[in-house]
Amino acid sequence: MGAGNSKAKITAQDKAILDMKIQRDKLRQFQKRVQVVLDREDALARELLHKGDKKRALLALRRRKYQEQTISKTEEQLLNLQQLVETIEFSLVQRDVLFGLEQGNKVLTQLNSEMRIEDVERLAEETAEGIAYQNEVSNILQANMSPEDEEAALAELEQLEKEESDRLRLNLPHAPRHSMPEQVVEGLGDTGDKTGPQRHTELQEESETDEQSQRLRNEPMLA
Amino acid sequence: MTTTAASMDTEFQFPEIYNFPPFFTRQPNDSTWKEQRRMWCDLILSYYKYNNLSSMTLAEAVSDPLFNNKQIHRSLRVDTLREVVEELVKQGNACWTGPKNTRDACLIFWRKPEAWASIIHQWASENGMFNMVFTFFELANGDDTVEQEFHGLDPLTLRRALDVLQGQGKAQLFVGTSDEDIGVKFFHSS
Repeated sequence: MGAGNSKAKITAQDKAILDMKIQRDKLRQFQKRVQVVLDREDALARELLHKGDKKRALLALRRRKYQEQTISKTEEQLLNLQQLVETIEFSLVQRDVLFGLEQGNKVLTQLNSEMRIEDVERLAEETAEGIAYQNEVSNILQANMSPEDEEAALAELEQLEKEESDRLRLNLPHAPRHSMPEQVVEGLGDTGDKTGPQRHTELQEESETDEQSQRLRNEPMLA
Repeated sequence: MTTTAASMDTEFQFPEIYNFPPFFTRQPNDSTWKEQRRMWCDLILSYYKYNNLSSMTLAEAVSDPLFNNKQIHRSLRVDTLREVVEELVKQGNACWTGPKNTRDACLIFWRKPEAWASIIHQWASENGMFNMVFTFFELANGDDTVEQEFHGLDPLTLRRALDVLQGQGKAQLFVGTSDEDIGVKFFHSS
């Protein structure tokens, strides 16, 4: 199955290119062969000339000339073949690029069709409608309430706010609760010793009785 | 291993054992023979690598300097050499060629086809040769591969290497219309 799969990778173009390349190789090998003959003729001509056989030397040189022509002809053909192969290979690459562009374009078109302007507008409209609906609901609920209910709700809100502020105050660092002048006169070290344990008891008392805490809180105000 | 990295014009440096006469005679003791055979295998591979050789005709090879040490007047017998080559074949470093079962000629892979395969694939990768068609002649003798180690590789070893790549899905061998000459197309991977 794997072999069958990979076989499919070889296209008719591949075969055509292979054929051309094989032709090119054969031409090149032929060229080499001719070159060998040429070199032999050349050596032969020299040898004959050395022996004084001018006539046959000339013949050998003529043959050499002919071989040279053959080589230059094959050279031309080789070039043509090579160019053809390269053109085909480049065309194949171009085809792939075109295919890629086509695919990309398809995807882009599809994506654009998936988010049409009307859809986007409708979505925005629907969102606005939802917000308007929510506002309407709270308006209606408010209008439906009796004055007593409204009052109770407000009172409850007040109560909640108070609880919240009490809780907040508990967590806050305590402001100095003694009269300011006293602190200044006695000095820092002295007040530190006194206020330390005192503060602790204050904290405990505060949580126990509201009345006491109220009084303590008022103390610095009086001073 | 011998120092094969020496400059090309220097002669192959034979190991010391090459001048040891018993090295050329098959040792009767089994474990000695195994060691001797291993040394011959190493020597053949490094000699073939150094001289970039591939094929061997056993009957002729025994008179080559590799198996015939003129200085000590010793040479390896053909049947002993055959046993050594048999071992190389077993290791994947050689294969018998010629008519079936004759075992008279072989191909020595001083670099295994698998290693050649990855070198060739590497070359194809580095030169953007994927999805391109090549003739065998072009790979081994073309102008594009002159600088490559596999330039001038003998056709059979090349074929073995490309068969390995085909097995890995990294290449596909195919024939053109003539059905004679084989071409190859490289792929990134399977």
